[in-house]
Order: sequence, then C-alpha cells, then structure tokens
Amino acid sequence: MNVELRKKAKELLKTKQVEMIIGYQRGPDGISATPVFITREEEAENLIWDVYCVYNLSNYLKDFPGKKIGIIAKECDVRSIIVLLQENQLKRDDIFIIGVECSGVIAEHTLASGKESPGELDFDEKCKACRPSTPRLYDYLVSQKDQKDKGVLPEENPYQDIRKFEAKSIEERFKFWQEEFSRCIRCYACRQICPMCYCPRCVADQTMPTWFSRAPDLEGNLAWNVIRAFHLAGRCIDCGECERACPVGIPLREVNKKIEKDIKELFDYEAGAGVDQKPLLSCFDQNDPEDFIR
Amino acid sequence: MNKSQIPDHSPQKNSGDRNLKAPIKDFEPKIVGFLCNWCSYAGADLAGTSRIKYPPNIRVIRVPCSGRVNPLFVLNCLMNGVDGVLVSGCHIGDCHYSEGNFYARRRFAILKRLLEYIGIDPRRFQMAWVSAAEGERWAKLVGELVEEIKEAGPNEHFGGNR
Amino acid sequence: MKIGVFTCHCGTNIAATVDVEKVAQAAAEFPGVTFSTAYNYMCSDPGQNIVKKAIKEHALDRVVIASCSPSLHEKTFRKCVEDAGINPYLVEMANIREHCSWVHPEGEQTTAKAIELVRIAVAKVSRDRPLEMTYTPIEKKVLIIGGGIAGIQSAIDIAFANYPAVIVEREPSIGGRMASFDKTFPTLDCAACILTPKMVTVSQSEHVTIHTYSEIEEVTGYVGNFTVKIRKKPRSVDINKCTGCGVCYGKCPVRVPSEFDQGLGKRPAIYIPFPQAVPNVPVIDRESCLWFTEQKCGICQKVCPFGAIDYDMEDEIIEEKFGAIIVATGFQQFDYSVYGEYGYGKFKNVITGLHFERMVNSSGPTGGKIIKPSDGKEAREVVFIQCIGSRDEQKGVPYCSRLCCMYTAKHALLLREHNPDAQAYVFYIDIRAAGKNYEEFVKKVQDEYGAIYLRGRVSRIFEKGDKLIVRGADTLSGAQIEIEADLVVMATGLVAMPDAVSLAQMLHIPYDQNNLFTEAHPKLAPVETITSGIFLTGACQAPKDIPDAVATASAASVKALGLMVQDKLAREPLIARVIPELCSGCRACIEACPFSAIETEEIEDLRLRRKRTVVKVIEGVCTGCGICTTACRMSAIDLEGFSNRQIMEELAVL
Ligand SMILES: Cc1cc2nc3c(=O)[nH]c(=O)nc-3n(C[C@H](O)[C@H](O)[C@H](O)COP(=O)(O)OP(=O)(O)OC[C@H]3O[C@@H](n4cnc5c(N)ncnc54)[C@H](O)[C@@H]3O)c2cc1C
Ligand code: SF4
Ligand code: SF4
Ligand code: SF4
Ligand code: SF4
Ligand code: FES
Repeated sequence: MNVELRKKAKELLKTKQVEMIIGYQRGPDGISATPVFITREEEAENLIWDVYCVYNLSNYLKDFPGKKIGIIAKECDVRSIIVLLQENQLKRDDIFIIGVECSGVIAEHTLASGKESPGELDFDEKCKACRPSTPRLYDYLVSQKDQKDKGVLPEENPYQDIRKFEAKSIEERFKFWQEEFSRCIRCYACRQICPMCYCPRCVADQTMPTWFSRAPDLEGNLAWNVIRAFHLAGRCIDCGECERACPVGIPLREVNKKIEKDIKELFDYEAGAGVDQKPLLSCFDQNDPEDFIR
Repeated sequence: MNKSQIPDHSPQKNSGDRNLKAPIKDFEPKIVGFLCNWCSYAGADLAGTSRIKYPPNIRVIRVPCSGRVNPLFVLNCLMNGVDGVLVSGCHIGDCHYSEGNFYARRRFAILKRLLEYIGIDPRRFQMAWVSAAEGERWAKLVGELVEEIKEAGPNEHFGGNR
Repeated sequence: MKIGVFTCHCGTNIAATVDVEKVAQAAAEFPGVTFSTAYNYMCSDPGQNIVKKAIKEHALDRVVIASCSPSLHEKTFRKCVEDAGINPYLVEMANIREHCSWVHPEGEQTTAKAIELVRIAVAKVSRDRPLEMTYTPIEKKVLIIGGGIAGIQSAIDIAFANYPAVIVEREPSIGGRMASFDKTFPTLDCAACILTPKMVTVSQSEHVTIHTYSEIEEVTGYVGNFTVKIRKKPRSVDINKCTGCGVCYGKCPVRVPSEFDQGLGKRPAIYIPFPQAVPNVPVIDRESCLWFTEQKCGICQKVCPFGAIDYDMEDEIIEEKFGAIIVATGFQQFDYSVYGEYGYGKFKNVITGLHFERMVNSSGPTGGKIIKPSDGKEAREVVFIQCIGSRDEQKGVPYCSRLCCMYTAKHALLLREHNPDAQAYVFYIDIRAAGKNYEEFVKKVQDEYGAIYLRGRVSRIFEKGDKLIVRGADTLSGAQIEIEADLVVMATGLVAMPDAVSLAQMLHIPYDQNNLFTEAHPKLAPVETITSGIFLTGACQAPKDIPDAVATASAASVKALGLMVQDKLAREPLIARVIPELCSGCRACIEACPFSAIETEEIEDLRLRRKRTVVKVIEGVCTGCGICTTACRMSAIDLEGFSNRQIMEELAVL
C-alpha cells in the first residue's frame, strides 16, 4: 500500500496540486514512525503508512497558512481536521487529505518495552475507543489496509473506566487527581501538541487578568488541567496526543473522555462529526437537561 | 486507568494530605453568587425591599447575564478557598437577552460534572434560576446553600497560598 | 488613582442595621481610596453636592457609592460624577441596602458584610475604564416587507412624516387579504371603500416606492444601516410603458383559476389580480402563458398599443440601504385538509371563509350570489364551523385565531342580507368577541339575522346526493344534531406564512413554535423585535383583525420614525470589545451572539507579518450581554463595564 501512497504523493507534487505533503517516515530506530515534510517528488519514496504511525499530523497544518498542503490522515486525525475546519483555522481548499484506512495503531509505550513485531505490541488505548475505519473525510483514499492481526477490537463497553472511576468516593477521586495533577510541571507539552490549542495566547499565559496561579502549585495545576479539558469540550477528538506528550504521565485522556462521555449523554454531541456542525458551546437545545439547576 | 511507566520526578510541592482533615461544620462559609442583572439580581433586590431575612454569607457579583459567567471565574473562586459558588440567572425563556441562560446551562452542566469527577464536592458549585419576582425564593435559596455548604465543610483543599 | 467612597445612611434604612460610620472608616483604608465619608441621603441634592465637592477638593478620579441597588441610582450617580468632571463610567455602587441592611439583623456581621461589599466595589472601580457613548449614523429610509393593510398603513405614516418608505410586496398588487373582502366587521364598511383610498394614497405619495412582485433576497447590516437585496421578479410588462388600458388581458386566450377569487373564478395568463390593483399594471403568469409554455401565441404583445409587453424580462436584483425595517407579511389560512371528519378538503361544497368573502362580494366571481360550487345553484342552508385548526394542539395550532368568531358572524349576517331565505347555522366552541362593539355585533347577528348558534363540535360531514350532511352535537341541550346543508364554511384559523421561518432567519429575528414572529416583550415592547431596528406589525406576529393591524402599523411606524428623526444613534458603551491580538478568528462568538453583533475582519498581523482573520463588534448592534465573552476560549472578546479584569479584581479581594 505504501506503493499506492507514494504514487499519489508524487502525482500531487508533480501536478502542483499541493506544495508540500505532511506524512510519516521510518524513524532512526528503524521501527517507529516520525513526521516528515516533503516538497520534492523523490522524497515521496520515504513515505510510509503502517501501525507505527501514531502521531496526529494535523497539528502541523496551521503552520503553513496560505499554502496548499497534502496530509496523510487516519480517521482520528481527520476528525481533528474537521474541527479545525469548523473553527475556520484551515481553508478546505488549501488542504488535500490523503485518507488512509486504519485498523489501529500501536501503543508507543509498549514499543519502549523492547518488543518489536506488531504481533507482540498492544494497540493504543485510543484505538480501542475509536473503532478505526475509513476516514470520514478525504480527497483521496489509499484503500489497502496495513493490519496487525485482525485489527483492534472495538471496546465492548465504552467509558467503562470512566464509569468505574465516577463510582468511587469523592475523597478517592480528589486524592487520585490531586496526586496526578501535583506532578504537572506546567511544561504545556499537552497544549503544544494539541491541534485544538491554537490560541494566539492561552489563558494560562495571560496576565490581564491572570486567570489562575501560573506556578505549578495545587491550585494552578488543578485549574490548568480543568480548563484545558473544558476548552476541549466538544472539540477533543481523542487523538490521545496530549497524554502521549505529557512528560510526567498524567492520564489526560481520562479527563478528556469524561467530558466526551458527558456531552454524548447530555447533548448527544460528538466532536468532529462534520464540517457543518456547530460548536458545542455556541449552540443549545431548548430541552438541554437542567436537573442540576435549582 | 492507563498509568504511565515514567517515574515521578516532579518536585513534590503539594503534600497529598492537605485535604484529609475532618470537616468542621461550625464555620461561616463564604459563598460567591454570580447573579444576572435582570432577574436574579433584581430578585435579590426584591428580597431586600420585602425585608426577608437570610444569612449574610453570600457576596454577589453582578453580571449582565448568566451567559457572561466564565468557568474561569468559578474556578478562581474555588481555587482561592471560597466555600461555595452559585451561578444564578433568569428562568429558561426569560433571559433578557433571550438565549444567555441556554448557553450557561450547557456550559455549567459540563463543568459541574467535571468538577465532581475530579473530586470537588458538588455542593460547592451550584446553579439556580431566580426571577425578579422571587425574592422569597432567593432568601430561601441562600439559606439552603449556607446549610449545605456548612455540611460540606470549609473548602480546605485550596487557598493555602493566600 | 484617587478613589472616593461615599456611604449612605439612607435615613435609618441602612443605618439601623449597619454601622455606617464604621464602614466609612474601613473604606478609607482600602488601596487607592483617598477620601471616605458618610451622609444621610447620598442621592439627595445635598448628598450629590457632597460627592461633587469632594471630587473637586480631593481631586478624586473614581467614585464608589455605598447605598442602594444600582438599578435605582446608578444613572443618578453617573450623571452626578459627570457633572463634577469625571467620566460617568468610573463610578461603582456597593449595594449595602437591598443586599445587606434590609436582609440581615443589626450586628457586627451585617456591618462586616457591608464593608466587604464596599471592598469589592472599590476593587471593581479600580479596574473601570473611562468610556464614551458611541454614535452610529442612520440611513433615513424605512423598508416595509409586505403590502397588506398593515404595510400600507405603515408606509402612509412614514410618508406623512416626510421620510421615505419602500414597500416590498410579493404579489403583483398591494392590498393583502383585505382587498378580497366584501364588508368588514363590526361596522360593515365595504372593504374596498376603505382600503382603496389608502392604496391610492401610498401609490401617489412622493415618499413611497412600491416594489410589487418582489421579494427580499438578503439582509445584512444592523440598525440604522441595513443593506437589503430585493429581487424583482419579471412581470413581463414594462411598468413605465403600460397605462393599464387592459386590452391585453381582454384578448388573452388562456383561462386558469384565479388566486384572488380562491379558484371560484377564472383569469387570463396576463392579468391584474383585481380591478383596484396597485399598480394597475398586468403581470404575465409564465406558468400558464402560451408564449412561455409552448412558444406560441404572443397576442398580448401584438395588441398592446404601448409596446409594454416584454417577454425577455429577467429577474432584477436591486440593493438599497435602510435605517429600519417593518415586517408586515401577514398570515395564511390554516389548511384544514388534515381533518378526515371534514372530508380532507375534498368536498366541493365545503369552502373556507376566504371563498365566502369572494362569493359574497358583488363584484366577485358569483356576482354576490352565495352558491354551491358543485352545481352553481344558490345555497340556502349554510353551516359555519368555527375554530378550524385553532385551539387544536394535535393537528392545528394551540392558540385562538381571534377573528374567526367575528368573521363568521359577519358571514352569517351577509348570508341573510344576500338571500333572505337562507339560514345560517354556526357551530362554535366559545364565542370570543372581545372588541369594541364586537359582542353587540354577534348578538345582532343572532337576534336580528336569525343565525342559529350551536355550541359543539361537528363530528362528521358526508355527502348525500347534492347535500352535505353535517353531524354534530349541541352540548348545551345535549341533543345530537344533523343538518342537511347546501354549503359548509370552515372558519379556518390564521397561521404563519409558509416562508416565515426563512424570512426570520434572514432578518435575524426570533419566531415562536408556531413560526409567528416574536416581539421583544409581550407587554412592553409588542411591535419591537430583539433585533434593534426591526419592527413587527399586523398578522405576522399573531392573528390580528384590521383595527389591530392598523394600530400596530402606526405603532411600528412611530418606532421606526423614532430612529429616523435622530442625527445619529447614541449607544451605551457597555458593549463587547475585541482584543485582536488574542483572537484566533474561530468564530465561536459569532455563532453564540444572539444579536448577530459580531463580524469578521481582516487585519495585518504585525507579529506574523501576514493578513489574518479576526472579529469585530458592531457597535450599534451589540447589547452588552457578554455571551460572546464566554464562548471565547482565549478571552479575546471582553465586555466593557463587566470586564474580565473588573470581575477578577472583585474576586481577588473576596
Ligand atoms: C375570512 C377572513 C375574513 C376577515 N374579515 C375581517 C373583517 O371583516 N374585519 C377585520 O377587521 N378583519 C378581518 N379579517 C382579518 C384581516 O384579514 C387581517 O386583519 C388583515 O389582513 C391583516 O393585515 P396584514 O397586513 O397584517 O396581513 P395581510 O393582509 O396578510 O397582508 C400581508 C401582505 O404581505 C405580503 N407578503 C407576505 N409574505 C411576504 C414576503 N415574504 N415578501 C413580501 N411580501 C410578503 C402578502 O402577499 C400580503 O400582501 C378577516 C380574515 C379572514 C381570514
Ligand atoms: S504536558 Fe503534562 S506536565 Fe505539561 S502542562 Fe500538560 S499536564 Fe502539565
Ligand atoms: S487551554 Fe484553552 S486557552 Fe489555552 S490554548 Fe488550549 S484552548 Fe486555548
Ligand atoms: S455582548 Fe452580547 S450582543 Fe454584544 S457581541 Fe457579545 S454576544 Fe453579541
Ligand atoms: S473573539 Fe474569541 S471566540 Fe470570537 S473569533 Fe476571536 S477567538 Fe474566536
Ligand atoms: S439576563 Fe438573566 S440569564 Fe440572561
């Protein structure tokens, strides 16, 4: 399938349909995949697509305003492109989506365990929740699959972990998150990697007013982690990049997914459903639940 | 939970047990109320004009509409050790700007569940609709809030910096 | 910063439970406060003078008044400090009466709370920004959408005040529903006799422009400054050449059912809808004209002495600017074919009130004879059924259409007048005749015109021979009733126009669950909409009879004229403000703003050295609700008077 992918990439560059293609190439370790930005046809030979292509490349799109960019995107990446389109951060005409069929990518941390062949590696958690498939939006589809076993099995009971955690006592919950968040060093790697955190100046950095403590203390860390997740309500498409990027291993997806679950339950809303979707918090339904209001 | 393999080497600023004291019920909670100008603030005014008594624990911040209340305001209060936060607006259909409380309802439905999830007592963040005619209800509401937050105890988790 | 704090005793209203002097002393210690005093009545003239004097003597630049609710005296003190030379938006009030002294007992706690409230107000005032009223220009022209009686009356009123008005009417003539009536309740004036002079007045007014056979294509802008695209459909007759001689429609070979006559009569393919039409210029119905359907005929072009027929005419789009818009698009009749028990609209001799209006009209298709459409014979036994579609939550609309009781009574009366042998039966649920001389009118119809009123629902209608059997119950006597009728007239309710929703969306005005346009306030702002500069009149807002339609028309005109007479529009500066450097152009705010007060703008980003899309607030339109500020994740849009810095400062001192 990499043959088809490379052929299409060459064609796009040759016919000048795009000026650059953002894709994956094999990393220096010979196993993992890293992002690559190609502008010349011959470089297309480096392009790969397989179970090691974990990253969401859509984050790079906004770095090239006004340029025609081709991007290799699996279903979850496409959802984030859709959100960026909804929010006018990208122009549809400026991007060419080379969609790839995906049946799950590997969990990076199992790579670190020294295992190498796909058979030994675990699927990434995000894939279990995603039911990976054909991307919902593309301009060209590389049809053939690169499969690890039979592909990831869809989660039987989505949000099971979240529900389990919700059932714990309030003290337990606080203790858990306090411990997790206390490790946060406010490096903002989560923000840096998130395709949706494109704000010119994040509220965490603002000083007029200062919204919450900028020091890595309990108050500041809690406020930061709550507001980061809140700002992604209806926008987070669960590419899992924040959690992957966090150097201290805070389970950020467990916050994101809590909101994902709630908005599905409360408003039947799923992020990145389609380009015409209205932003979750800029619309409402007359009958939105209000049992929590006195 | 998908815990990471990476060892914890961050500076341990916050000792994990700052929160584990037994709740003290005998205290005067500090409650902040964000009230929309047209209904809830006027309802609180009416409680005054009607001389209905209620506990003095609430500090009212006047905003044009419940749709003006940023979750960051709420977080700021809680992180600064305020014991309870209330957002109050017009009843659905009565918003002076016709739609503000619809947005507020959505936004705070999410925030409320999120705060609970990370272990913040649900009694500490509440929402209400109080109309300009409901002076009595306003007074009763404040009374109930004060009781509930006394039950919950002081917001000791936070505000240690102040 | 030199803040002055003025604490009020309000007689004993505050002083009885709050130690006012202690509050004043405590306030003197707050950061930025250089002067603090207390007085018996701050709002009184002597009280205000104390403020003014202190501002001068102590060079104060910000003021806090600790007294009653800002809803009472915020304006007073804004004016007061302005008189003393301080920007009126640099004053804040601490509500220590309604929120403190009146609701808490005398004691330390209450005084302590008052002190806290003053502390919060001082914090807020320290972050206040001087603001100026904003002014936007006004385009001195009013657009009226819909040329029924309501639209016509509005145009007359605007023109009378010497301001220009433009009527856009979808049909080939203005006049609306009223043009098709015979007589009008309760006075029984002939509709044409009272409507035609008004139609002539508008058509001749130098201030009124009428675009008939036209529709609104697009509306942009805001109060004082709307830009409207109007689509003029091709009439196929040059309005400037045609003299209205009528030769063309006399010669046209086509005959199709006439819309104006509710299909009871026929009209040619080139026609004027009714004799008094304004403008008195025919229109070609391209659906039935042989030139357009079969590329033959062309008679009208040949016979027109003035060469006015133009088959090649195309849609024309004109763009005009307006300062205000009056919506007067009226209503349509409820489609009763949803009711199986009434024959799903299939029985020829079951008609609606509008059919009856045409029949009873002496210049109408039957020459004023009440006939059975099935065979043209005169109808004697006529059953009227009220509340068709009204007050029916299942199949119709939940509301009362208000006029059906009255026009049915009118019909029953006219029936007898036109045919003294005829008998009217009226099935009703309630008689609602709440208008001047309305009850009397219904009584007269019952007593003097022998109309038989039966309280109850009709359960079924079916055809038997050339008669209609109407079966129903008289709930007053408990009797089952069966009437052999020649004709059944449905008093169908008034419902929104089919395109009401799309028009509302174009205008950014709200509509209710019945698609009727929603007024800004049901009692206190009945002809306004929440979109400033757009007003409502007539039956598009709710069912209205002619007197109400005319009254709301004049009301809406006054509102529009209120804008016209101003040089520029003064606006409170407590509105949203964008900080372009922080804005990502995501448009979350645009989607959320209920007033469409935000638009995009291209700016040159100096840091990125390229053009970038951000948003800006339309000053004339923003109402200062602040909904946008919370839609914006990056706090790039803030609200003057209740800014992020002000509120965060208030929270900081808690
Ligand atoms: C059978 C019947 C009998 C009645 N008898 C009486 C009576 O005796 N006395 C009385 O007081 N009232 C009577 N009424 C009520 C009367 O019809 C209304 O009060 C009156 O017509 C309301 O006027 P209007 O201008 O609001 O609406 P309309 O008369 O409906 O006029 C609206 C106009 O707007 C035009 N329009 C609609 N949509 C658009 C658009 N999108 N763009 C451009 N133009 C548009 C329409 O073509 C129409 O010309 C009767 C009603 C009925 C149904
Ligand atoms: S990446 Fe992790 S440590 Fe860094 S700011 Fe985000 S949550 Fe905190
Ligand atoms: S956390 Fe919020 S403010 Fe910060 S970059 Fe992300 S979306 Fe923007
Ligand atoms: S303050 Fe309200 S009216 Fe003004 S721009 Fe914001 S949302 Fe719109
Ligand atoms: S002001 Fe905020 S919400 Fe509006 S477009 Fe700019 S960034 Fe988006
Ligand atoms: S004005 Fe009260 S909620 Fe909007």
